Amino acid sequence: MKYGAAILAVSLWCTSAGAQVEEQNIPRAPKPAAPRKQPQLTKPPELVDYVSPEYPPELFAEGIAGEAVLLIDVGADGKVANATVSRVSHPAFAEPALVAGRKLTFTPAEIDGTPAPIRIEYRFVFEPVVIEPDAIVGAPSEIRADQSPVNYRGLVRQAVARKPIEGATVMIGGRPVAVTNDQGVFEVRGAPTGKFEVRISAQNYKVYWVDEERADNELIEGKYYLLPLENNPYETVVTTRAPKREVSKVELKRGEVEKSPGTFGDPLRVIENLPGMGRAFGGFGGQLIVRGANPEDTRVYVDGIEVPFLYHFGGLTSIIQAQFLDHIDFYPGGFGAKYGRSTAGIVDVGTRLLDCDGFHGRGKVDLIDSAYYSCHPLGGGWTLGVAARRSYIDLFIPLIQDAFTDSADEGSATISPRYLDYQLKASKVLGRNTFEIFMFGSADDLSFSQSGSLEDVNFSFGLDQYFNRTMFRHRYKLGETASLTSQVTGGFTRLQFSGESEELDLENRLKVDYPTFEWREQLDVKLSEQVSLSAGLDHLFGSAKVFLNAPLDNRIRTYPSPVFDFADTSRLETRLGNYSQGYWAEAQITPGAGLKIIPGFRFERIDFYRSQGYEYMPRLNVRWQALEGTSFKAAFGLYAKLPEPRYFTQTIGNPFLKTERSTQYVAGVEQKITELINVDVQGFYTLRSRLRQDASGLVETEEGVQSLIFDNGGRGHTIGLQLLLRHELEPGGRFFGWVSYTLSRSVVTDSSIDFFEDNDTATDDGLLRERRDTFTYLSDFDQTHILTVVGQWVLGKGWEVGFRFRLTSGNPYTPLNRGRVGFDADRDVYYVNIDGVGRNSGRLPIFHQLDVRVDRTWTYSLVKIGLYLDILNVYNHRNTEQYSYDYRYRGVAPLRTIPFFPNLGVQVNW
Amino acid sequence: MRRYTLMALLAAAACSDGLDEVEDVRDLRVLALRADPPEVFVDQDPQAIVTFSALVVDPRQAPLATTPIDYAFQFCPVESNEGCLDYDKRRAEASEESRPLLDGLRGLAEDGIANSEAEARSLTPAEASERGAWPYAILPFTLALTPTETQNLAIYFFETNRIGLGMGSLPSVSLAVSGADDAFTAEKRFVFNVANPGAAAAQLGVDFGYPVCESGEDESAGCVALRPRVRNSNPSFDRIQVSLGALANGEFADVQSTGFTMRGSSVIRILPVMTGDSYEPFQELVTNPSTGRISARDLTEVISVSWFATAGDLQDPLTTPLYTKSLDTEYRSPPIDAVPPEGMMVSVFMVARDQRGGVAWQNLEIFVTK
Repeated sequence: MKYGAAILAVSLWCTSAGAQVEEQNIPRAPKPAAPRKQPQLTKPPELVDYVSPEYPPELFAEGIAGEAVLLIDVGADGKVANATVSRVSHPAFAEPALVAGRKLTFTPAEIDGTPAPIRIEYRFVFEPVVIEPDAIVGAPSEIRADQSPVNYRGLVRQAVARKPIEGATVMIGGRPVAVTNDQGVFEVRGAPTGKFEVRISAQNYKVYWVDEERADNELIEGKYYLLPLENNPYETVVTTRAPKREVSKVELKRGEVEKSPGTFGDPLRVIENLPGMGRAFGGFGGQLIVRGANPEDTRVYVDGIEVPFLYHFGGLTSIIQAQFLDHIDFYPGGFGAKYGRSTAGIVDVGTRLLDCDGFHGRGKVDLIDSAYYSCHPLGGGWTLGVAARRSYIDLFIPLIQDAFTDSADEGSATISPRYLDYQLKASKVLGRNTFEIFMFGSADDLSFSQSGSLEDVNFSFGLDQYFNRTMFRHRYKLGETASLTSQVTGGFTRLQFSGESEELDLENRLKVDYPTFEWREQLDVKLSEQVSLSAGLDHLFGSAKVFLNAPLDNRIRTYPSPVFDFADTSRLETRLGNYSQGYWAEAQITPGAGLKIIPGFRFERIDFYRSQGYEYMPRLNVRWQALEGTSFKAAFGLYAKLPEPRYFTQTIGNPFLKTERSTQYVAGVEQKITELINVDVQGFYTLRSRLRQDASGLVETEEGVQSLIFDNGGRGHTIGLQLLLRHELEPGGRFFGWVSYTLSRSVVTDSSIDFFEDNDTATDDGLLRERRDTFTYLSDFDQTHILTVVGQWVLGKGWEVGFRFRLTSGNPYTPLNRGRVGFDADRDVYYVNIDGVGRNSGRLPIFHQLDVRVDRTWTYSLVKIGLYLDILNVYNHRNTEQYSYDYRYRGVAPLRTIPFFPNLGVQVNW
Repeated sequence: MRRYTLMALLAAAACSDGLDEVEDVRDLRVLALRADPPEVFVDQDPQAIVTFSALVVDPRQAPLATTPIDYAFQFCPVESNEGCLDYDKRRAEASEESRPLLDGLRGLAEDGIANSEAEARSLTPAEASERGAWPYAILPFTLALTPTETQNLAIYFFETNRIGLGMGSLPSVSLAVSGADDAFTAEKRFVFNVANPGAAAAQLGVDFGYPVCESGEDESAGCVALRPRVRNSNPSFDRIQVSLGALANGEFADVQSTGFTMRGSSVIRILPVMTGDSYEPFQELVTNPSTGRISARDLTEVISVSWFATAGDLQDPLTTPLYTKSLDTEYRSPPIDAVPPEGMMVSVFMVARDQRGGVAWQNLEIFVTK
């Protein structure tokens, strides 16, 4: 056994003899009476005698790698005067490192040409697996020279994934005898007869021991499955990602997201733990509240395809299984020209090119749903991935609902929420071409029905949201410096609410069917080492068919009544055509000196139903690496999006609504503190205009002044600061985590246009217009402080434990009980007049919640079994999500978020 | 209705602590306001005279029950959904000529004190209500407009909203009540209308975009078939029926509204039966959302009943054929442990409303024994 290479990390700064070292080896100079010449390190110390630390046997047996960093005071004679432990990845590494460190010998350092004492950092790296056959003097060459027949052959593969491991060293009796080829195959000539010990080691895998027995003249063959080190970064690091460009982009490794507490193992839900992201309503998460903006202002893409929702039932779990994920890019602002139709943030989920070499898969069962994934090589270079998931909450509910029925004549009520999703992806790499076909879809169905009641009207209610997408993508490499990606996607989205009652002859229904076709082209060209260019188009065609059969209040002058006749319906059918064209271009310029400039421009033509227009959106990202480990960054951009389609329907909306706009300014700094710890601080300011708001009266449209219920009169802004302090996951590491904090203030201003009749004016309709602000208030999504702390430890022996703690300001609310209460004797209701009570002038109590997750994994040669317990709200804090009032607004009671909620699950990978 | 609890739990994944229910009358309440008649026709009634009455209840025992309450009725001559708090805004929108009229009518008010009397508990409900005594009282107010005021108010409403485009305008009366420990306001509208919209057919035709049909014409002629209106009247209770037990299909039998006896922790169903003429036909105007065309349609009033009890539990706060198939509901008397040895009186109030402002109420006195 030998240890890995020890890295000498000599401090760059040093001090004169006797000076104490503080603050990362920055010397503290004696207080000068007058300017003096600064001492210069003219010769660093060099290692003369190396002493190996003893590897802790228990860690070696577990295959646990790590490091110990010492602070060593090297005397003027080159001997170690003192050594202390600076940091260790595992406590057991400390003592052996100290013992060895004190025995090291260096050449003396020289300051201003004179030998002088110095303090240095010295790192011992413990790696149990790195075997360099040629480094073992004598033995390998002797064995390789053996020309006797092969009598021992083996195949070394990664456990579970069964990928061949290249470069694994095979040792017999402690001596290396062979190294595996790229197929994971090794051959040994002259293997001993009888029983012998075989040890196989490879980088990032645990050492494998086995006893083999061979008779004379016998050829033995074996298959060996090596266990990856826990948190093997080469298995889990998100690859194929470009270097950092955008100011606000956050990238996470899969190892950091798959077992994050509070997410039920759903990587996409980890986004809610990042800076700039507000806490979602409820307790399960799901809403993408980015920097105080409305969730509708953030757009979600899967492989560049717009999807109507990312989570089932608004937050339970995401619609794409983790095994398909290549990357999750979250842009809370300042994103580039590639993205459109968003004024707040972007979530870009990329799926990966599947590359399985055999039938692999995963099955998962927990209290909420079951999921299946498998990957199949099809031949001809094609690979197929298949996944599906279905919930079964609807199966459990009937078991408990009988307890909620009083008597037989109440009949029976059933509620059946269920969701399912599927993904199917085939891909092939053929020379310069990459072909991908990706089909995916999701369906959420919530139904409630009451039947057999003699007391109440029997009815059923349903919510159905469904979408599917089929994408074809072709990527062609034009030489080494350019590529062209073409992508077309067809899709269908349905949103349906229904309420039916035979007894009332009632059929209420809102159904929106929305077939879409998306076309994307992207050309990437590297013009020189300093300049690269990307350009593309992004078109979305669609035609939404809106069918409404509902009790629209189309009656003229009715008397206020306590009852509403839901069976009194009106029927409405509308088609909303959409042809949105986007064209964009972006350059990446690296003029040197650590500077990177990314100017971009996006042009969009908006053509949605009766709303047409053009948007010109310049964007700029600048990043400057001023020092090693220190980068400054800034971004600016204009953004625009249309309000959601439901606001455009005639009668219940305003078909003339225009795009909402935002202007974003971001500036920040990234500082690398250590190899694994870095901090990112950003300030941001977002100015919003033309926001959709409830119209307070008449609305000016292209067809004159009309009475409509929405207009574009709103505006607002968000200002804030966000911080991400992150300890990254290192190879074979035991810990990762981050602290995310956002300080922000988000306000909205409603304004209206007053119209005055004035026949003397020159306006066509004889109306004078005066815009006035009605009032400014905190956005519904304003959260002043958002703190999230995430930590995850690998405990060894397959155990992992993690936590997430969240502390956020309460959401704003309007305290109704401060209003003036009256009783409407015609409607038989109490109403509250809140004139004088500021909208969102109250704030709910502070939210805090601790989520914990424990994982236990058993890894066998072909199968890995995982058991997990994910507990939401461990200490059952009764967070307040909203207030409810009694009928008279006197009594107030809090509506609570989710209480203590454990979810136990098991998953099997093969 | 525990199944609704299940729905709420599943839907919200959250729960709130208990709040007062609207059907539980535990302190000072205005349960209903009635206008008689609920509709005035300016082309038939030269002088608008409407009598208002308020059903006010405070079931608490002394000393609160012995404290008199102050009340004040005030006419609101403009249309308001806010208890006339927006009177100044509405007035500002009126023509200069109408403003003095409105200010004058706004001054039509009456206040008073409803006294509690120690002997109230020995009175019959009818006697007690006549004397303004607790546990409930009926507070009266008569709004009497002069013929000139009536005509000028009609002119104001015609200018403002064309008499509600033929469906009537809705002035109201507000009632302010203040007791020993509580004060609030209530409002009640009445319909101020023309019986024959054909008289204003020309002008209404301009505003509708369609003329009002002449007699004998139907809407195929491109007009709105809005016939002369029949004055709405308040509904009335014919009788009250009760069935033992909670089952909705139990056998109901008539009871005396003055009272009957039941034991604590027992359950009955109560069915109010309305007179046949409580269900009146009427017309309303609707717009076709696709074509924008206005048309008149014939309907019959649907009655709803709001329920209140001074003790015990009511299953539904509101019954109507549109939600609960029939007007009956379940009443569960107070737990037997909560019933004093000498028994207790419980009042159950039923407030019936048609869909056009007509109101009636009926109380049921129940003596609950251990």
